[in-house]
Amino acid sequence: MKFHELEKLSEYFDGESNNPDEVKELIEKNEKFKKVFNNFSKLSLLAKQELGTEKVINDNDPVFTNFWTQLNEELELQEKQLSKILKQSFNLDNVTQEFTNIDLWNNIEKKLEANDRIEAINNSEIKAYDNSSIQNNSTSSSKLSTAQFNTSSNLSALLKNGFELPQNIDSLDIWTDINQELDSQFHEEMFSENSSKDWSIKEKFFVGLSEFIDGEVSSTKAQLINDHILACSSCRKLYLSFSKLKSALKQSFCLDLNQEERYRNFWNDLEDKLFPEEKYQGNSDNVKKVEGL
Amino acid sequence: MVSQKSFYLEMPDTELVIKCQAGERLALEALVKRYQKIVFSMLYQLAPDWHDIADLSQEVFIRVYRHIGSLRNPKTFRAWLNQITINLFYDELRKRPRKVSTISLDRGVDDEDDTTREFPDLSQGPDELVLNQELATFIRQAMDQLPEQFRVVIVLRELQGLSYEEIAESLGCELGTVKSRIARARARLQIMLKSYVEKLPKKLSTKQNNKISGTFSSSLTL
Repeated sequence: MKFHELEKLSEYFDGESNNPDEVKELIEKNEKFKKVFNNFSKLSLLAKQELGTEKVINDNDPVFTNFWTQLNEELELQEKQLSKILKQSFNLDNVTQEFTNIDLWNNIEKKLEANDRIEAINNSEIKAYDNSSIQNNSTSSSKLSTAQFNTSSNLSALLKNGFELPQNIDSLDIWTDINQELDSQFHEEMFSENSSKDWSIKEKFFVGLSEFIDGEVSSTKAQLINDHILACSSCRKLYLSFSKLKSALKQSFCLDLNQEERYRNFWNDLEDKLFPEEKYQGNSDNVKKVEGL
Repeated sequence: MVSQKSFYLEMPDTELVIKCQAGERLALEALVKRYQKIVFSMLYQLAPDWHDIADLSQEVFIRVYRHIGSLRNPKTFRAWLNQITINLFYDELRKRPRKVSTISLDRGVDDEDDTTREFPDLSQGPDELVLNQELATFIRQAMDQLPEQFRVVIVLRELQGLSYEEIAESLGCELGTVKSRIARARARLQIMLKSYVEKLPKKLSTKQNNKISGTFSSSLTL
């Protein structure tokens, strides 16, 4: 698809088209256009969900209403499937095995039908949106911003790489875990240098953070993480939280360690157990050989 | 005699172990006195709901006494002692049914049961004292909820200050396993203790914390 065609679709998608009927007809008749347009909508939904932005299309348009219904049904189905797999993974319920983790993501990937195209858009055509030399009111005012596309691109990469749920994912809070897994994808600087190939993305992230907090990373890596933490508010927040936790644990353990009254008679009691026969034989402070040592 | 005792107390571990292996009781006494706190506290953190920690700590040193002759490299005494302590913990764990704690992390200090310990520290002001008591209580409860293998690595790291390699050596497992367990233990504790950790002052005390350079946003709220 040519860029000007993509642009035309984008304008229509944003409700900024000069010839909406023409584009609408094009979408209805041409399968390729229909797919790309649907991908725009799906991307938009993903971006919207990711960024929490408003809907970027007019819901009242019957074309979209139909599309949203279908998409919602699709997403609902996917959610159900995901839920099943999660339940299965964590033995939360007896469920039949219909999908494996990889199947699920392949399934989602297939349904999106857009990985290559999204990548192409993000790597080539979409860059034109950033180019101020292109005078296009619709693109400059478009809510479908580059940032949203980048987010979508990241999600796409995630899907393309075959995001797999880790085998040993914590069951304490499944959704927190999944969100962390997704979020970790975008903070590679934090990843542990010597990570095992079996580790999930989240694990690489948390091990990296943990190593850094414990001073167990090389100076180069420490600098890299340091720079990332200063630039990334979510990692900074997590870093501070983990640091405080470390301090709190140390403080608590120290309080515990210094309960002197516990140890007052420790040696005497132990001595009685080790050398009971000497209990009434006078002072045991002398330096002497002890049988068994 | 006092000077002789203090002479032993100042002796490095390696010498004490060699003397202990040669049967010198004062060397054993010095070793016990040097490590009794750490063994006691370690077991206390590993098994917060057990009430016979003192007896178990003594059992650790009984095992030390019985087997110190087989310790080939005296330099590894500390790692060896850790192994004995951890093995004893796992032995006991197998013997007794695990009590699953159901105490809410949202409970206040006033709701504490009889097993809650006090942490008197007269150097602290009333506010700090309350915070520490609360914190210690909730940390203990959170630690109790951690799987044993996570608890062990956190205790070895934060209580004993062992490096990742030393922990791997003490547990006889891979370095990667240690890293993963520490990270996952922290992630779990962070979730469980989030609201309490957030109450802590922004000033951080660990050395590593001071390695961060640059200025954090003053509006950052934690």
